[in-house]
Amino acid sequence: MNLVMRIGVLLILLPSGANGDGHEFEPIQVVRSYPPIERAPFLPAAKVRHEVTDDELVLGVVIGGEARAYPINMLTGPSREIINDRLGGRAIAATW
Amino acid sequence: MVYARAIEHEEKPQELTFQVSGKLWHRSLVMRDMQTRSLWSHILGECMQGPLKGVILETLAAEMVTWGSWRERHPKTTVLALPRTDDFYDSTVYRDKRGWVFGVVIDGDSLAFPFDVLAKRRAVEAEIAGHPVIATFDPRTTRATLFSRRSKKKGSKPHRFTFDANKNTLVDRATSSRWNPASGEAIDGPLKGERLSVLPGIVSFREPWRVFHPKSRYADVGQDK
Repeated sequence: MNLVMRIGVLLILLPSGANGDGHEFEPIQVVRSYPPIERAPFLPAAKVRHEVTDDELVLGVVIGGEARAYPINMLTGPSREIINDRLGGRAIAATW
Repeated sequence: MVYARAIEHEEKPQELTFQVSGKLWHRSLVMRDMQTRSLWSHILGECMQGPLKGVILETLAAEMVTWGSWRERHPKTTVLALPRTDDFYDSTVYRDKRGWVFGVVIDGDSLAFPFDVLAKRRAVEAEIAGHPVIATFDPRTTRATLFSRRSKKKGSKPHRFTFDANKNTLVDRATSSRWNPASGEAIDGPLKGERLSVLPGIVSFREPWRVFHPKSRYADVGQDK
């Protein structure tokens, strides 16, 4: 095999995140890992001023009669995408 | 989406805490649990590698909706109060509705309701793994919700609904009772007080849904599936 063919074969053999069959688990490290968020601060709706506006999107959940909203504009970026929380007696993960 | 952190593995209950691993799989977030350091696909809710491989997290019913709509329906709600990371995500994000789906998996059967179909029809009935369901949508607040159409009355057939756009209510064909499409509660008529069960579904970009659920069906404009 000449050099070009050798490089071509090598590139094909390198693992990528996605492969032909699509479901082998081959994740790629793209950024560092982030510490888990476990004790995030909350406000009652009545105390909200500028933190979130009416047209902004939230992830809303009701568990055991307790309602909580997670504004998407607080969840973007790898340091925020998972909020470990407790609501209505259940341990939950709100994710984006 | 929202997942339960309590799992059972080999008959042992466990509560997990998740971190962002910094890895992507098919450009989708990979989570790591701190207890076993196993790796999880965020979009599938499934453990892909490590001691908990194969465990699937319970998905809890949650809404992706505007803050105004949420606090109006849940006045006692609390809200996360971390410093803002973005300004981008408001109801205009769904402007190109073809790019988004409301996806559901029940017993291995996947069905996606494209947002443009939901916006046009406002309520779409379907069957997923034999379960009769209905997805409702409010284009103003971008709320998509999935309900079971099973009747609370034993032995009764599943409800069949039409959507009354003028009154923004569902109407069931058997009794003509009126139902709130956000809460699933019958607000008028013979079935007043009955409440449809909410089922979990997720809001997703269309392409990641297709990648992770290649066998998924898609609800379309013309017909119920």
